[in-house]
Amino acid sequence: MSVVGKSVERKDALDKVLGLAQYVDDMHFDNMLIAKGVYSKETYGKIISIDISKAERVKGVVKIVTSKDIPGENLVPIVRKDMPFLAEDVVRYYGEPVAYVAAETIEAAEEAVKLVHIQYKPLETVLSIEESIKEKAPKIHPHGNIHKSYKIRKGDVARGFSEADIIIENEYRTPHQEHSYLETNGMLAVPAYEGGITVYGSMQCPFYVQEGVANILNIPLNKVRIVQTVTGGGFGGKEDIPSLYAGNAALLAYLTGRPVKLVLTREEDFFTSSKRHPSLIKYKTGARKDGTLTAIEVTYYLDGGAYSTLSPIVMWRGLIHATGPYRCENVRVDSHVVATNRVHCGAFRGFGQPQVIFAHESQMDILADKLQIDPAEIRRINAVNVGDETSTGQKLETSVGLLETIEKSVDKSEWQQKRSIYEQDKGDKRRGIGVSSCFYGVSLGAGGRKYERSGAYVEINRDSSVNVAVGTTEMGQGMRTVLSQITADALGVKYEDIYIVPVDSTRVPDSGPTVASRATVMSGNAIRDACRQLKERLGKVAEEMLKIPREVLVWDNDEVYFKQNPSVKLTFKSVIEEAYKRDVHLATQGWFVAPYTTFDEETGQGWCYFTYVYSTNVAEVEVDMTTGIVTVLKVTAAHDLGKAINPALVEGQIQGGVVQGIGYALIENLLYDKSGKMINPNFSTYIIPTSVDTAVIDPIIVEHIYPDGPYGAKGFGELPIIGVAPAIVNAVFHATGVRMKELPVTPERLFSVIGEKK
Amino acid sequence: MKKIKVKVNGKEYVKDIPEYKTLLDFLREDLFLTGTKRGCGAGECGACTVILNGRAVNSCLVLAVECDGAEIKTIEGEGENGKLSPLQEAFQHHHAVQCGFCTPGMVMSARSLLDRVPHPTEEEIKEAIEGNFCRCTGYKQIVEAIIDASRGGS
Amino acid sequence: MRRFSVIRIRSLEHLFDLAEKGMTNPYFLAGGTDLLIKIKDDLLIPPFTVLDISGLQELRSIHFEQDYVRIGSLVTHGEIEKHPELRLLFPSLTDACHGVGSPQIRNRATIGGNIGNASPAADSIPPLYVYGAELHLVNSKGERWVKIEDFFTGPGKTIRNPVEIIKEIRIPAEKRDYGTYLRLGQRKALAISKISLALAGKKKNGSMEDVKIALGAVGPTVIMAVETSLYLRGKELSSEVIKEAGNIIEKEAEPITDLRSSKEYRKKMCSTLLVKALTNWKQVA
Repeated sequence: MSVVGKSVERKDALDKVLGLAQYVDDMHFDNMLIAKGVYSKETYGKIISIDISKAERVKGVVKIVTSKDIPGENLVPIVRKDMPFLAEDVVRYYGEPVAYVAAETIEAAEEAVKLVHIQYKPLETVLSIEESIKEKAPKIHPHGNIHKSYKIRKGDVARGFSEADIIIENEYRTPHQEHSYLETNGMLAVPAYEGGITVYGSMQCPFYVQEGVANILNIPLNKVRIVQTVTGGGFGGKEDIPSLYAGNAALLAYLTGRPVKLVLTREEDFFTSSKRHPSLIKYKTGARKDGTLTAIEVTYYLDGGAYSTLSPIVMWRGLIHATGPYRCENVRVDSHVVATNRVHCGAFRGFGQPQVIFAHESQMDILADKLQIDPAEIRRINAVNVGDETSTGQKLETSVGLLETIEKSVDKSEWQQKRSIYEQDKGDKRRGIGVSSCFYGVSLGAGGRKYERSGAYVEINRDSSVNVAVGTTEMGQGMRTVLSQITADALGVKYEDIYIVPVDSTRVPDSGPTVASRATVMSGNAIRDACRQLKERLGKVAEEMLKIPREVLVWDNDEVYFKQNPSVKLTFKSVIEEAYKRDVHLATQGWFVAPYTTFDEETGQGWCYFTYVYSTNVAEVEVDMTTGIVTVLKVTAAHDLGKAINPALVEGQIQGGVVQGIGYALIENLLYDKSGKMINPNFSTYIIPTSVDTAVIDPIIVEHIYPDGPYGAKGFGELPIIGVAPAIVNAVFHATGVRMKELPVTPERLFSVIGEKK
Repeated sequence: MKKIKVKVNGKEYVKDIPEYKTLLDFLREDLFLTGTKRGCGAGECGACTVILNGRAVNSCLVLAVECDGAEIKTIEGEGENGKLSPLQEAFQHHHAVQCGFCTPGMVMSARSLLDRVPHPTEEEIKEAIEGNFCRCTGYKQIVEAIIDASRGGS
Repeated sequence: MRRFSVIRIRSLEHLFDLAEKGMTNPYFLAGGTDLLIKIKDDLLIPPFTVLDISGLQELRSIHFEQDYVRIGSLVTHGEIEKHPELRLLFPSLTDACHGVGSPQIRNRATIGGNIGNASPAADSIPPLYVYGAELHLVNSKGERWVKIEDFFTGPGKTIRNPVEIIKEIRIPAEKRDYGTYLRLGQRKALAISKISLALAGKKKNGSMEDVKIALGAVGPTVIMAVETSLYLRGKELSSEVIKEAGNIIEKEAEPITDLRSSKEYRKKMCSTLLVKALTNWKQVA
């Protein structure tokens, strides 16, 4: 009675529908102080002075910290250390934290924040990729304005272009995207035993936060306990920056000896949290008349903002996927993430891929149009399959479901019929249908090799209920449910008997970060490793009880039985009771190290990810030619994710991801004024889709089993957003004949291009 | 400070509160009903939706002093005697919950709709929850849950 | 939230008494959906006093009389949008109220608040222009009736004195042949209009007799497209006339660029929305 593959109810749904789930802002400690940040009102400037004297006199204010108060290192440990917890000499973006106030009440804290007086000497700002890469651009960091560069070199692009019958070259631009998780960032720090500290909070990566807190306080990791509270959405947005909030809350708690709660307002969250990187992509593609690709040359720029945070690996992922899921023998990709005086950018679902995939899937569409090949067909012609090589020379050995995603999405969406029906539209309302394909390397791969391991601790209690401790986190994606299903099947027990313990760094092993769609594979495999060991121990017990060799015993459905004669059986419970009587240790650590990956920075080649997931999206739109308004009618989204452990959760990921993709394609964008201040830092001006802005979304699950994944699963979560924007833009082209090369496709932009074309 | 008398989830409370306190803060801080969430504080996201005198409102945009004499229902009052309401059950069955932060407000908007229109159309449902952002689900499974709850006659 | 004091107003007399005594920076709290955001965003200069008028039942009703429909200023957008008789008489107004915010906002936001807030993008205002609404302003010194188009002086600015209250809105109970409200927002719900158009018109012997058109979010206040109306008078609703009216209205509007939209787009959309409105009228006629 396997539960893997079944849409069992979520473990966390009950608490959440009752309103009982405890998010960090729902927690309270006696004697607790409230913290508020003092955020820079200068975009780029030297700090001349910080005067806190007036603010300190506000009744109820207990402590105000600036960089001078930091006992440890004033740098947030992420990929490289360049972002301070609190600005020291220079602020590099509008909104950068300069000081934090802890007070008895929020009103006192807010009043004090207004009275902290900071004098700046403004510096010349850099507000775009183009400005940042100018030779004479002001330097934002001592190392200059390039946070990091990577490249791919494969074959000979000059030869490849010379073999091409057609070459197309275009520039693409994409905007910032804000995660807009419904729960803003928040941390609650509480002084603990023997000089230690406990931090509760909303986060994806507790062990990153632990390192950050240890760093700012200059105390060892074993004195820092991190407890993840129920987390109201992440999407990558709670990967890097929670370390900064936690560090500052911890600093205040440490210095006051009192619990301190820091929960951001929506505006503060907008100003200070990491975003999806804006991009500028120069893309050149060569192909033969029959549609086969001969060469691809890409220069990929990301605006990393003021600090590098996760930018190097975000860009690296974009680089590896820059040529799309296609065969091409001659590739040259250069990628640079540059500094600007705008908010730092970091992880966001898709992680550097949606930008470049918008470019390559636009290129494929343009090629198809110019070569008079059906857009789905040109993807089929070039699609990778088992045995093919990626742009970095990695041979794809198993589980490549791309072609099936193309077939299924094209069939189910009635692509052929709709292509011709929609082409008949000639009036004010015109429909179009477009396609995009993409792939996604599961987990961190060679870009994050040092985190490519995961621990799990599995414990069977004397009543035969099971505790599972993993360091990966639930943020809404359904991890607790999926890992419970995996554990249940691995032990042959009921799903209801599995409990994934809350993430507490003193209780769970470091399983690496919960990012890159990696929790299912990484924690799932670690759990299976632990369960294997436990079943080994239980096997000995059952063997003696049944007098049947354990090799022929089957563990299933809360029982263990003889394979050849299932009536010879024991209940799981009775085996556990016996094991406890015999002092068998029924708790153990599992460990999983990801398969080999590597990348050579010099040659730009390597075995980058241990497996990939694949998808094809078919989008249908209706364009109002008189207003430029694009309405997405339908998205048919086919995804190869290996085994779907819980199909309903997979569907939820697709539904939600596609809607985020619709937002990215059409409406979402951060706006800045000339001085570099974000001017739409809230939900009334940063526009995300509501229930009436969605489309019919038809998810198709394709399962190309990955043998090294738990039950054949690969990983899921990010893929659904990645190909949505190009499918929509390609559909807009089909509807209007207008090619949009910049996101979002607002009515203003589309209407003006339609006007030019007339 | 002002004294107010309110009935929340059927229970009467008399409290002294500052005049500038919002209903949201009053519920969370004075009554410890933390199921109602703060997502934006500006009436945009709907996470703080409660039912005030029979109507769904953003509790972040209501002052508690305005509620003197009012009847309020929050997520904590949706189930009865510790049992889930059919609406809550439908959210659970349909995987209409992901991160859960929008869920209480979403359930309250749905409740307010079903109280007025027991058998709404899909369009009516979408319109009833248009003021409740959900960044996780794409709304589909939520709409399905509400349809199901309405068929079950909740 | 900033500390401030709130006075719960028990009656208009209570308000007038307080006004006589004098108050520092009084602001009316009706539905609260604009005021509380302004306070949160620190847009009001302290110290200020919040006058909670939400309990004034006398301002909460709608009366249908021989010549006028009188709408109390505390009637909410939700009450207006769902009102069947109002929908028959003033479809442009009910459509507009339906488009405001979300159900939660419409359940709180009042029509008087929307007027008093004086946003050029406010949805309820353009329809009030085309239906010739008048505002009943009262204070301790007396009362006055003001035509809606004389009330606004700029974005967020009106001729209202601080303790003068909008008591009710009076609209001539005149049946038109057609009324509509069209708006463009950045998304389909919860959007502030980046441009809007209200239109109400009558026909006589097949020709347009009286067509009123108001545009929102294209200037410092809502504006009436007077020249376009003049052009339409006496004409039949033909495709050529509709097209020409579109050209004229584009010249009447002087919009600006802001974070929601651009000047050029807004200008074009005046024409687009008018063409849509007139075309719809032609089709239903």
